[in-house]
Amino acid sequence: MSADWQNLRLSPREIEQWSGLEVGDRWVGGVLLGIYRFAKLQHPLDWVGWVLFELATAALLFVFTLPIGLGIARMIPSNRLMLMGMGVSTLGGMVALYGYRWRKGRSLQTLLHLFEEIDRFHEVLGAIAVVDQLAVAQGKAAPAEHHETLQLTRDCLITGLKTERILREQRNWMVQDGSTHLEQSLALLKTLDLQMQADEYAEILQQSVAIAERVQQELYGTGKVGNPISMKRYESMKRYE
Amino acid sequence: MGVLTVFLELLKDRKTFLDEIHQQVQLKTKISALLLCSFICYSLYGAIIGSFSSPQQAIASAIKLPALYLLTLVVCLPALYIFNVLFGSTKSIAQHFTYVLSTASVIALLLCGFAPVTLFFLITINSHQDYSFFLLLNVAIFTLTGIFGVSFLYQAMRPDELELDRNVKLRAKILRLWLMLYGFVGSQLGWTLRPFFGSPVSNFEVFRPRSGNFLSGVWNAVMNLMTGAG
Repeated sequence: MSADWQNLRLSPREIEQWSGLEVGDRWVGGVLLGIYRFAKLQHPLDWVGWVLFELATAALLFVFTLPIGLGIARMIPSNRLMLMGMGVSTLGGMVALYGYRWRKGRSLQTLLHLFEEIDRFHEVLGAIAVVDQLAVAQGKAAPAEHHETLQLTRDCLITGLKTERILREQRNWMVQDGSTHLEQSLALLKTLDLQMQADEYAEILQQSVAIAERVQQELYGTGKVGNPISMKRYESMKRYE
Repeated sequence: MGVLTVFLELLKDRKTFLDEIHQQVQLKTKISALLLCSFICYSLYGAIIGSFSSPQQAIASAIKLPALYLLTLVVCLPALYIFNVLFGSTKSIAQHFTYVLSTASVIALLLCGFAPVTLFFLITINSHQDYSFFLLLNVAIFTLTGIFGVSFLYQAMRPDELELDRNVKLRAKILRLWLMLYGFVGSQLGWTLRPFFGSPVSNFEVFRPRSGNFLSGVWNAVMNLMTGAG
C-alpha cells in the first residue's frame, strides 16, 4: 500500500514539466537566478546555509570583476583603488541580482503557495504511509478509504500548476492588451454566439419544413404539396376509416 | 536538487549527468551549482599555493585562481558555440556552457585531490631555496589536471560518429582546435594574472607588470632549477 502512496507523490521532474520552471528543495527557477523558498527555512542552520550561499555568490561575482581590477591596476598602480573598483562592481552586481530576483519573486507568488500545498500533500502522504506500516505491523489490513481523496487532491494540484503556468506565460498578453482587448474579444464571442444561435434556428426551421414536406408526401402521395388530387385521396381515405 | 547534489552527481554518475545535459534537464541549476562548487575548490587550492609566500598572497590567489579558470571559459565559449552551430550542432549555448563548466569542475575536483600533496610539500620544503621546485611541481599538477579535464570535455562533446551529418568530422576538428585555444588563452591569462605563488624574495604584489609570456616563465624556472639558482 505504501508503494501506492509513493506513486501519488509529485516528483521534481513532474513539477518541472507542469510548471515550466526548474524546482529544487530550496529554489525555484534555478539556483543563482532563481527564487529562494524562505518558507522552507525553519531551523537556524537553514538560515546560516542561506547566508553562506549569498556570501559565496557575492565572492563569485567578485571574482568575475577581476578584469575590472586588472584594468584599474594597469592604469593607476594602487591596490586600494583596484579593490574599491572591484568592490563597487560586485555591489552593483548583487543589487542587480537581488532586483531581478525580487521582480521574479513577485510573479511567482502563486506558484510558491502551490509548492507549499504540494509540500503539505507530501507530508500527509508520508503520515499515511507510516499509519499503513503500523497497521501492517499489527496484522491489520491497511485502510484504503483515503486513496480516492488523495488522488483528487493530486489532480487538483496538477491542474493548479498547469493553470498557474498558463496565466504566468500569458501575463504579457493580458498586460499589453488590457481590458480593451478583452472587451473586444467578448463582443466578438457574443456575436459569434448569436450567429451560431441564428444558424441553429435556421437549421431547425429547414429541418421542420423538410419533415413537414415528407409527411405531406406520405399522406397525399407523390404529388406536390397542396395538390387538390392528393387532397381528394386524403378525404376518401378518411371515409374508409 | 541542491548545489552539492549536482556536484556529487558529476562525480558519481557522469554518464547520467552528461545525458541530462544532452536532454536539457535542469540546466540552470547545473550551471549555478557547478559555478559555485568549482569556484570554492579553485579558491581553496589558490589559497594553498598562495600561502607559499604570505597570507596576503593566499587571499589574492584564492581570488585569482578561480578567475583564471572561469574567465578562460567565458572568453573561449563564444568561439566554440558559434563554430559548432555554424557546422550543424543543435545544442544550445546553455548546453555548451554546462559542458565546459563540467570540465572546469572536474579540473577543480582534481586540484582539490592534489591539495594534500601540495600542502605536504608546502610544509616540508624551504620556501627560499625551493621556490622553482614548488613552481614546477604546481605547473605539473596544473598540466596533469588540465589534460584530464580536457579529455573529459573531448569525450563529452565529441560529435557522435553515428550522426547523419556531413559536418561531424569537421566539428570534431573544431573541438580539438578549440581545446588548443582554451589551453593557449588559459596559459596567457595565467601569465597576466600572476603571481599565484608569490616570490619569497620580493614584496607582495597583486599583479606583476606586463613582461614575457607563460612559456618564457616556465623556461626560466627550469633554468633556475638546473643551475641551482632557487
